[in-house]
Amino acid sequence: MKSSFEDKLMEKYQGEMSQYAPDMDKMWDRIEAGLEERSPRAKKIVMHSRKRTAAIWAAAAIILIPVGFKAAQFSENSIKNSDTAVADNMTDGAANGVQMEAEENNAYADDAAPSVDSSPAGHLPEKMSYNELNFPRETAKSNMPEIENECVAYFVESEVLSQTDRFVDVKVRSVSYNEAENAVEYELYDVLGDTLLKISTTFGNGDNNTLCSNQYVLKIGHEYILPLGERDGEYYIVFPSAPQTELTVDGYAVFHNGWTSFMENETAYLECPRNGKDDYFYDRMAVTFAENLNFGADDDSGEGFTDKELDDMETVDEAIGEWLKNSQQMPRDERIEGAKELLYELASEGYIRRYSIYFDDRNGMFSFEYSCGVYGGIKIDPFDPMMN
Amino acid sequence: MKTDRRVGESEVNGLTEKQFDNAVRRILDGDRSGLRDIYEEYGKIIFGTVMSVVKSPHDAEDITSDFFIRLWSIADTYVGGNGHRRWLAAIARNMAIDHLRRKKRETVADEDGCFEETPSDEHLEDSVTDRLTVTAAVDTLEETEREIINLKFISQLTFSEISKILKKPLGTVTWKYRKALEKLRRCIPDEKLV
Repeated sequence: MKSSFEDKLMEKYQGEMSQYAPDMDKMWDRIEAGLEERSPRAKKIVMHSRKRTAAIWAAAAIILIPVGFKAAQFSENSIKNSDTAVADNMTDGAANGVQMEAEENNAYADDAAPSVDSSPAGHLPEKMSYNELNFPRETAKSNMPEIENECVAYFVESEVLSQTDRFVDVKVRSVSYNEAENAVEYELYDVLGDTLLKISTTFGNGDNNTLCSNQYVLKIGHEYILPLGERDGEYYIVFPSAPQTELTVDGYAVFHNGWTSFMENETAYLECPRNGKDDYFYDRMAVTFAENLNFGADDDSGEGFTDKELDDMETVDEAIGEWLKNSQQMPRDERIEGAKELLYELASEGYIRRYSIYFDDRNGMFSFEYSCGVYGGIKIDPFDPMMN
Repeated sequence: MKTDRRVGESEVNGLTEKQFDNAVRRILDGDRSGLRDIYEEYGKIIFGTVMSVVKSPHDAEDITSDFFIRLWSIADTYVGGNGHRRWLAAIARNMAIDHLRRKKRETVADEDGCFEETPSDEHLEDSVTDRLTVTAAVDTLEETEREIINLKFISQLTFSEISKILKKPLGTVTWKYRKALEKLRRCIPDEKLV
């Protein structure tokens, strides 16, 4: 959003620059004199050929499963609806440590955007529905009571930015309610920094960075881009009384249109269900391609792996493969404990990201990230193609 | 809860992606009208982008001419629908930076880092004060802030496009932009902007 100062400053600055502008007609004559004849092209313009490279790398997730279990090789298109795709795309597996290119039932793995890719020329429609987006399944429920205060704060992007020390891409590990402090406490995995953040937000009326309603509490398993401020060495969420910018598993970012700088991208209006009578955001949500936000990522993410990264991945896969071979007959508890020990051991040697290690008990699977950021997993329970 | 209802909209005119793709196709077919359309729409912006880096109208004019001549020959590298404004601005900025690097190597005597050539004052008799307040104020910003202000104000790019050109997170770009504005507000009185 522009203040009048900003408008005037821009106008003045442009005015100053334009005073130096040469005679444009004369300059065109000069340009034209410098042009060489070119023969008609043989090459067509490629539409969006480059756009998805980074996302595809990000989607390259590897799951290692115990010997004797069937392995599934997924195509890129199966990533989106993983549950049904598991059954549809099964092939007979080979040997130990079979690698698969997508992950089943893992809330943290699916960062690619096959549905985006399949849209004509990658453009968004004018309107989309919240229900058609794919969010990670919540892996646990928080113990939040119903809290509904009167919200008095206005969201103003420039004010939020002025308080923001950094933006983080986080996946929510846990959410709990601290009754004594009347606060919600989050454990968040910082995806790019590979660290765990513990952040507490007190309930209030929305002023002074308080949370006015539990409708804005982050969901476990979901991924967000959060603006964080720092106070006395501790981080806090800036303006928590609003829906935070959320990433879907299929490559979209959902945000409210108060984020005017996000609105500069190609966006679609997002039809959302109203979350209670005091939900003032349901009719002002927007969606864009997650890559448009480009938080924390340099453009070279799609250039592939280095030799060292490939070697490191191979080391991890060999170690896990060996462990899987020897752990088949162990009881489940021991397998979990053993896998955990192995992963932490590998993390201590820098082969995988320490804070990325996560066990999803419901699905019986460890997920982790290799040092290069690719997702991996170890399936503890037998693979069940009928599992939902 | 009350929230800000204002929605940011791009105020920048220019060619649509489709129009730009069409102009590129004509260039690839050897039709100069494609380049002319791009020049008419973006010539001044490219000049401003270059000027904001090299600070010399004479050099900026040379580089802008070279830019369009180069565009004619590299049009087949353009990936359609991928944000042509960012593509143009990135090429112009790189050419300007290359020019500065070459010039820096050549200008051995210029030990204090100032540019040998400064904008001619002959066009600016009535606006010296203005130049001092805005251009000079922008020059005092930290390098990244200055680049962001120039890409935003002169190249008229979105934050997202700037973030991709500078290879910096969008959050950093928007935050630095706000910081730069705060600094400029402190050193440029409102009355100077009237």
